[in-house]
Amino acid sequence: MDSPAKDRVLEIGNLHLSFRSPEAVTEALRGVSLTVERGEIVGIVGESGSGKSVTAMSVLKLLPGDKARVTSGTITLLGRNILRHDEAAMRSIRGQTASMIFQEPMTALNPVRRIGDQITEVLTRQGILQESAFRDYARKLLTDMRIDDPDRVLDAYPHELSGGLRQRVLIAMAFSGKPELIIADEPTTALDVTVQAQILSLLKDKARETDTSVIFISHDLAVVAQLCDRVYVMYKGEIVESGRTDDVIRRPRHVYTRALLNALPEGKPRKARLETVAAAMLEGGSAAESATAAPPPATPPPAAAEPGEALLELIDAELYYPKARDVMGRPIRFHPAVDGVDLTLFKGETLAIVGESGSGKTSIAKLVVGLERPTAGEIHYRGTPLEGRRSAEVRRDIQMVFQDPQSSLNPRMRAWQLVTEPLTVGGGLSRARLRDKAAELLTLVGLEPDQMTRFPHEFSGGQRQRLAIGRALAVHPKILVLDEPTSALDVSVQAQILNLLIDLQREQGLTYLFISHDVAVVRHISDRVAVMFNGRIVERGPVDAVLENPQETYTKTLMEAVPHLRLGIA
Amino acid sequence: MSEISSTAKLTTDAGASPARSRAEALGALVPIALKLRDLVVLLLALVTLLFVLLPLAGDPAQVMAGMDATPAQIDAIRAKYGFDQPWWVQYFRYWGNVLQFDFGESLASGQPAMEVVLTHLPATLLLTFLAMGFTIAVSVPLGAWLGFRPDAVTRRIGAWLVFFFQGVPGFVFGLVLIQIFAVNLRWVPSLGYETPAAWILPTLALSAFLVPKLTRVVAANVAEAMREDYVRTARAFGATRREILWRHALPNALLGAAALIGTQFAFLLSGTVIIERIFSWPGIGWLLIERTQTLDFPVVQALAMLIALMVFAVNTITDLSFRYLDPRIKGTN
Amino acid sequence: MAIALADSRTKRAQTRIRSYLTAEIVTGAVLGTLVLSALIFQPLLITHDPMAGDLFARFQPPGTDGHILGTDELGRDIWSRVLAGLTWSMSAALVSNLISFVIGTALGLLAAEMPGLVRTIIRQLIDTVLSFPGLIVAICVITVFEQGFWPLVLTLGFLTWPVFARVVYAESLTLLERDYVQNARLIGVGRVRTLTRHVLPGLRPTLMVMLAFHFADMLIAESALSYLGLGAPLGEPTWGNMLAASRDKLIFAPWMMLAPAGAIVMAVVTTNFVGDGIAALSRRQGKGIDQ
Repeated sequence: MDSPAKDRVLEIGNLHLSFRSPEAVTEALRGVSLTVERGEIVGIVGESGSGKSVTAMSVLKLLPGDKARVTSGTITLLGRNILRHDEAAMRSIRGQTASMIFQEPMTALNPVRRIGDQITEVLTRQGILQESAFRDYARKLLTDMRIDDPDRVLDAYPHELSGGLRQRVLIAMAFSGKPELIIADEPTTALDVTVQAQILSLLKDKARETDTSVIFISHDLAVVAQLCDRVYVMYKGEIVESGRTDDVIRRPRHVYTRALLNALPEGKPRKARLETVAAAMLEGGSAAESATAAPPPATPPPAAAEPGEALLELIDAELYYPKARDVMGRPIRFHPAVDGVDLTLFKGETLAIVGESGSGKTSIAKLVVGLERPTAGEIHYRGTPLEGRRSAEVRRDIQMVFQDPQSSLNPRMRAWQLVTEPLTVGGGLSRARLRDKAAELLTLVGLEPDQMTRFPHEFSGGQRQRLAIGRALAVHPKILVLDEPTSALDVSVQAQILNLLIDLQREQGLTYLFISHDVAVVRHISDRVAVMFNGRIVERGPVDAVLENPQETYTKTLMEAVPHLRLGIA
Repeated sequence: MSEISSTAKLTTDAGASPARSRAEALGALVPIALKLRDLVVLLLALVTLLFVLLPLAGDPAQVMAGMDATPAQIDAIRAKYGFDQPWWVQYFRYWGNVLQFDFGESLASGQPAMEVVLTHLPATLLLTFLAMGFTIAVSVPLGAWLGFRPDAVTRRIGAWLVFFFQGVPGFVFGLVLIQIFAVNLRWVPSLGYETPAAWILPTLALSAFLVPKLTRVVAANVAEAMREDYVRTARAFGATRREILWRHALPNALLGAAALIGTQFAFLLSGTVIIERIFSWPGIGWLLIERTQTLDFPVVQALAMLIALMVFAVNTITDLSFRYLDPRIKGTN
Repeated sequence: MAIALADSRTKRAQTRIRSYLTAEIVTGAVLGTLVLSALIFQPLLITHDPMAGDLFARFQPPGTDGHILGTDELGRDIWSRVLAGLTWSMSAALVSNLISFVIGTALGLLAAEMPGLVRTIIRQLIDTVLSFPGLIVAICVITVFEQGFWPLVLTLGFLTWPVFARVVYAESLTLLERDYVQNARLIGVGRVRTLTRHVLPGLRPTLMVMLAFHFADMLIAESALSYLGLGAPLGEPTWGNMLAASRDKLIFAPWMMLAPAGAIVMAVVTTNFVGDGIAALSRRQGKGIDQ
C-alpha cells in the first residue's frame, strides 16, 4: 500500500554502508530498506552489531565521514535525497527537520554549561524566535515535558539533575524545532524502569499531539511493543522482518525473530530452557520465511522446592556509607544503603531481589558475600553469626558473580588462571593440577577446555560471563550471589546464561541470590522475590504472588511500569 | 518509609532546604582550611630543613667571621648570634625570626637579607610574567589547531614538530638563541635587562620550558573533548565544527590546561634560575646561584622561603579557582 | 583453497607487522638504537683522551688535526668529551630515575592500599615535596654536600619521587575498585598477592611510559645542574659542564657550545621518542585487552 509521496517522511532504499579502518573494511548495513509515514511511531529492534544505531545515525549523516561510507542506496527525507546534501545542508536539517535523541543522558549535555544556555543555543540556530523570547519559550518547552520546576532546571548544571530529567531536557530540545521526524536511539535503556515508563508515555503523547513521526530504536522488544505502530527487526546489517508490531510479535515469520522471541523469558514457563538464537539460526539457515512455528515444548518445571534449612539470614542489617566529611575527615552525614533489612535465604531456592538504582540491592549482595560489613545488625550463616573476618570455609561457601564480565576478569590473566584463582588461596595445588581443574570447570560452564590459555578479550561477552560463573563454582560453593549477571548481555546470550544457571542449580544443588532490575528475568528464574526501595524491603513473597498481585504501592508502580510483549499469554 | 505516595517523588529532585545551604556554605570553607594546613606543614618542613641543612655546609660563625678571623673573634660572633645556645633554643629563635621575615643581614653587603631578595624580585616577576604570557599566546591557539583535527596531515606534522621541540631543554634553547641572534646576527643584546630588546631572548628561552608540554596538553584535551557525547549532541542539533570548537571543546579543554599552568609554576621558577644565569638577568634566580656560591646564608634562606611561599600561593590560587571554574567540583567537598 | 587460506594468513600477519611500524614506534626504535650503540661502542669511537689537554691546540675549530668537533679551552678533544659525557649523564639519569621510581611506586601503592593515617601522611608528603621548587632545593642541598655523582643522584631521586607516587596512587585506587580485585578480596586473596597479581600488572603500561619520560627529565636536570656548577665536578666531561665553559666563548668558539647542546638535544629527543613509542605500543596492547 503506497502512500502519497508527501505523507512519507522518510524512505531508506537498499542502503549499503561500510566502515573503514586501517585493519579492515566491514559492511555494517547490507541493503536496508524502510519507510516512515507521517505521524507513525516506527521501531527498529536488534541486538548489538545489528546495525540499528548505524541506520539511525546515517539519516542525519552523523557518522564520521572518513570512516563510514555509503556504498549504495538512497535516503530520502521529505522527498529529498539527503545523500547528496553537503554538510551545510545537513546542518539546516539537524534539529529542525529531523532531531535525534541518544542513549546516555548522563553524558549528552555539556557539563560546564547551564541547561538554559544549552537550550538557547539550539533555539538560536533555529532562527525563529527573538532572543528575548528564548527563556519563556524554553520554560514552556520544559513544562510541556512535564517538568515541575522549569526555572530551577534552566539554571542548573547537568550533573545536578537526575538521568530522567536530563532526558526530558534532551527530548524538549528535540521537539523544539517542530521537526517532522524524531529519531530516538535507545533513549530509555540507561534509565530505571519507572522512569522509562514515564519517558515512553511522554514521547508517545507528544508525538501524537504534534503529529511527529518517530523512529524508536531498541534492543528491548517489550518496550517497542508498548510504543510502536510498526517494527523492523534487524540482524547483522539486514532487515529480516517488518510489519505491524502486533503481527510481528504474535506471528513472527523469520527464523531470527522467532528465535529472539523464544529467547525472551517473558511468557515462558518458569525455569524452562529458553531457545537460543544461535541454535535457531543454525537450524533455520538463511533469511527464509517459513510457517509459524510453535514455541518450543515446555520442559516440565522442576518440582516445587521444599523449603530447606535457612542457609543465610540477615537480621535488621544496616549499611551506612559516609556521605560528607568535616574538616578533620570524620564522616558527618550518612547515606543508608541498607536501612534495616530482614532476609532469609533457604537452601536450594532462588531468591531474587528486585529494585531500581539506589534501592540498595547491590549493597545487600556485598553484605551477603562479605565485601562489606554491616554497620548494624547481624548476618547468620547456618545458624551461626558471622563476625569479623570470615573463615575460609564460609568464604568458600558464598561466592559471587558480578554484573560486568569485562571488569570482573583480570584482562592480563589467562582463562585457566582466572577460573582457578579461588583454588590458589591457601596454596597447595600444583600447576598441572590447576590446569586439570580448569578443564573441568570450563566444561562445566559450556566452554571448550582448549580455550583455557586465552585471555578474556579473546572471548565474547557471554563466554566471559561463563568464565566468571566457572570461577565462582571452583570451590563448590553453597550459595551463589548473582549481581545482575545478564544485564550487560544481549537477549540471546542472556538466554544461554539463564539456561546454564538453571542447569547448574539442578545439578549442583545451589542456592541463588539473584539481584536484578529486570522483572521478566526475575519472574522466569526465581522462586521467591523481595522488592527493595530506598534501602528497605517493601514487599516479599513467592514470585507469582508478588509480581501478579502486588500489595504495596511501590510494587504496584513498578509492575505497572514494566513493559510487556503483550503476547496474549497471561 | 516503605510506602511511596506518588510517582513524582521517584523522579524529581528535592529542592534545597535552609539547613542544606548552611552546610554547603560551611563546606566551602573546608578547602581553605585544608590549604592552611598544607601551608603549616610546608613551612614546618622548609624551616626545619633550612635550619638543619645550612650549618652543615660550615660553621656559621666561622663563615660570618671570614677567613682570617681569630678564634676569639669567631667565639664573639658565636655568642652574639646565639650559636652557642642549645639547639632547641636556636630552633625557636629561628622560627621567631622567620615569622617576622628577619633572616639576618647579608654577609656580602650587610643589608637585611629579605631586603636584598625583594629588590631582585621585580626582575624575576617581569620575566615570568612575559614568559607566561607568551606561552599562553602560543600554546593555546597552536594546541587547539592541532587537537581540532588530529588526523589531518598538517596537524600530524605539526604535532611531530612540537614533540621534537619538547626535547630541546629550555636553557639549551636559550644558548642557541644567543648564538644566533645575539652573537651572529647581532639583532638583540644577550645580557642585562635595561632595554625591552634585551627582554626578547630571555622570554623566548623561558617560554621554551612550557610551550611544548602545554601545547600537547591543550591539543589532547581538545581532541578528547571533540569525542565527547555532548559534542555529538551539538552536532545532532546542527552546530558547525567551529561553533563546537569554541563553545564546547575549548572551554572544557582549557580547564585542564589551566590546571597544568598552575602546577607547572614551580617548574617555571626553576627554569628562571638557569635562564637568569645565562642572560645575567638580575632576578632572584640569579641571586640564588650567586649567593650559594659565596655561602651568604641569610640571603639564601630568605630566598628559599620566598620562593616556596610564591609557589605555594600560585598552587593555592590555581586550586581554589578551579573550585569556582568547574561547576562539577563546586558542588562537592 | 588451501593456498588462498595460507595467503590470507600471511596477509594478516603482514598487516599486523605493518601496523607496528607507525612513525612513532619506528623513530623511537631507530634513535634508541643509535644512542645505545654510541654507548656500547664508545671505546671504539673515542679518538682522544677526554681529559688530556693540549695547550698548543686550544680552540681549534672542528675538523682540524683529527679533532672531529674541535677542541675546547684546554685543548681537549670535544668529540671524545661528548661521548664520555654520554656515560656520565646516562648513568646519573638512570640511577636517579630508579631511586625516584622505587620510592614513588612503593609509597603510591602503600597510600592506595592503606586508608586512614598512612594515606593522609603520604599524601601530605607528596603535596609538600611537590610544592618545593625542585631546582632550588637541589641547589641548596648540593651546595651543602659538595658536588659529585651521589649527592646529585640522591637529591634528584628524593626530590622527584612524588611524580611517580601521585600517578601510582591515583591509578592504584582505580584498579583496586575493579571488580576482579573485589572478587580476589572475597575469595580471600591476601593483600600482598592482590597487589602483585592484580594491581602492579595493571600499572605496568603507565609506569613504563613514565620511566621513559622521567628519564628525559633527569637528563635535563643533570645537565642544568652541571651547567650551574652543581652537578658533575668541574673538569669532568659532562655536557652541562661543557656548556657552562662555552658561555663566554660563543663569539669565537661556537662549536664548544653547539656540540654538547646537540648531544643533549639528541639524547632527550631520543628518550622522548622511545617513551612515545612505548606509549603507542601499550595503547595498542590495551586496545585488545581493555576492550
